[in-house]
Amino acid sequence: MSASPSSARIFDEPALLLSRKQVSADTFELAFHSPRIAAAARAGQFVNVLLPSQGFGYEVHESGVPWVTALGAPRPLLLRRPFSVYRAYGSNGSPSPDTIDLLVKLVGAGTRRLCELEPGTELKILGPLGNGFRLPPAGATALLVAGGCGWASLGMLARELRRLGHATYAFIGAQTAETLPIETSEATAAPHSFVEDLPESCVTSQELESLGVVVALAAEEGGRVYGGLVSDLLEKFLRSRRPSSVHLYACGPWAMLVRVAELARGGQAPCQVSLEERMGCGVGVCNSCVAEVFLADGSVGHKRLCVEGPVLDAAEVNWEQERG
Amino acid sequence: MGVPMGEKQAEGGSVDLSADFAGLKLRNPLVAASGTCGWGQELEGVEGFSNGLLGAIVLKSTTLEPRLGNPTPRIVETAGGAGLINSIGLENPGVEVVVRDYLPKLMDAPTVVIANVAGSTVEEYARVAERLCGSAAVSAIEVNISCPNVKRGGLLFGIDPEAAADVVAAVRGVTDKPVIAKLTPNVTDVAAIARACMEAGADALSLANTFRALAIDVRTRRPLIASNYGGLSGPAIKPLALMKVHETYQVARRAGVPILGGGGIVSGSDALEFVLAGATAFFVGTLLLREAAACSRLLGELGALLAEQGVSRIRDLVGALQLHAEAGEEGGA
Repeated sequence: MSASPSSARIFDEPALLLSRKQVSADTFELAFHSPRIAAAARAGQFVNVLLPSQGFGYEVHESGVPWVTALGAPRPLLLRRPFSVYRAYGSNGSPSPDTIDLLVKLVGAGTRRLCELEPGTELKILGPLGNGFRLPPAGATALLVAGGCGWASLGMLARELRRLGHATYAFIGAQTAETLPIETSEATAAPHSFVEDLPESCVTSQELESLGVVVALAAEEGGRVYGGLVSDLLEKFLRSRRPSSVHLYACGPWAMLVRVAELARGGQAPCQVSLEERMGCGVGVCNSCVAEVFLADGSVGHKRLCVEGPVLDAAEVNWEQERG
Repeated sequence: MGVPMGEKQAEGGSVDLSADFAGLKLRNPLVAASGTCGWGQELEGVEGFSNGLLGAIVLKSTTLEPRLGNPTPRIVETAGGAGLINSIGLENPGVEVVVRDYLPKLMDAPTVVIANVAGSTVEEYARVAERLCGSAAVSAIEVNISCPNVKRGGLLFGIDPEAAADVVAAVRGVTDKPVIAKLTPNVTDVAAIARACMEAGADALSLANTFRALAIDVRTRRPLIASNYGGLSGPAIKPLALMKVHETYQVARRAGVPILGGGGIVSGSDALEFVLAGATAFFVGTLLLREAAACSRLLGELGALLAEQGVSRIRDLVGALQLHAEAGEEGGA
């Protein structure tokens, strides 16, 4: 009486960690062999990762001070941890997708454990989960706005948009230039004309530029990128040049999303946002990860971000809600 | 309402795992706890899980009117990764939507479907229970008098024997289907509540719901749950829940009332502990949030464990715990 694999829409797949690459001070890219999820995943969807119980016996608190748990015993993690599918592709030249990449920023015990795993480790990965982004109409220009590891949910979308020939801009911001969620290197082309106050020598993402994505980076504390908020970059762009059909896609801290949604509303541009919330099951049974939305009749209701999200229309989100 | 047996004795291998629970014929004693299997549909798409693997599923708590529940964050992992605190606040679309949209889809469910009712007043419990039990898809009703996360009703009914009895009697009065009282462990004398529920007409008891709990962010000095307090579940509560089941069994046994026991079960061995303590059936909850596919593993472990001991029917082990003679029932602490 086991569930037949063919009827499953959500796979619970043993996945081998193929490689781990540090891309910035606190961000890693992890590649997993996960063929069924890789083949099914769409941009904006996520997976729920079950970490192996064999741990390291300690937890590093956000203060950076490690403490030993009782007798240094391995420390299990009860729940899975959700991560966006950052890339899905065929490894070693395989034409069909068999590998997924996750972009993981160190924030707590779970992410640290994940980023300490050695290649060759097998995990169970549940997915693909969530609704994913809707693609814009042909000819539309896509503006992708990410705060920190929010870029994880937009990376796959950027590739898909370029494959379909959309003009695509990536606005990516972080606290510091060192904690941008991407690998950066010296920019060779001239800086974008919509930003006047750039440092003399800038960094960029060669990877994104090679895809034909226009890259605009920001760091609140400055550095060799625009010094300020990523939403300010977006605002400057929208003020200086405004393509006829613009679609916005955003993922990041709540305050950033509020601002991006405002700019979208002001410019009457469609805007999809990928929201985050502490999550339990990932499949819609526990009702932990809800967000407040306005229903068709104007009343306030909830959407479960794991099944009816994580992508919502900015216009339906109640931006006044308190988010912890 | 019966479910045909077979399929390797319902995944227990050579061991007969079937259970008779308050007249419900369960293919095995494994039950999905309320609030962890949604409305019986959500987990069906997950690889390795099927309602047909389980003895029964208990649907999410249903109230008369829709409820939006509590603010987020509603959940936090705690107790060194062994515990989970939640405070959902009984979010549900209200009984009319449940009856119209969800129950019809469970008409041909390959498992026993148990509805779950909650409310702020005795009358609300009765009205909702009557609507739920009016559906042929529902085989029994679990009465949630133990939710720690709502301001009115819920736990308040579950910590007072008279109030608990009033709710159970009201639900008893509107249906002939088995009535299961879901008890809270947040009481000193769970047996007193159990006794009151049985006298009011409960056909079965289920416990333990979550333990009231708190987790604090030491930097912000604020609770990690938006509504401050929540209910603790997961392996951290297993010994505590087991004790409550053991205490309840002392009174339920005499009345011949079966127990649906659980709290932190993650393995076949954990499940067998609850059976030995007196549970005729057992539930998993937090385990489903972690890995729905673990149900078949758990049943396999349970079957193997019993086969190893030469036990052919799990029902023979219900309450088979043998206390050490000298410590006696008053032992410990």
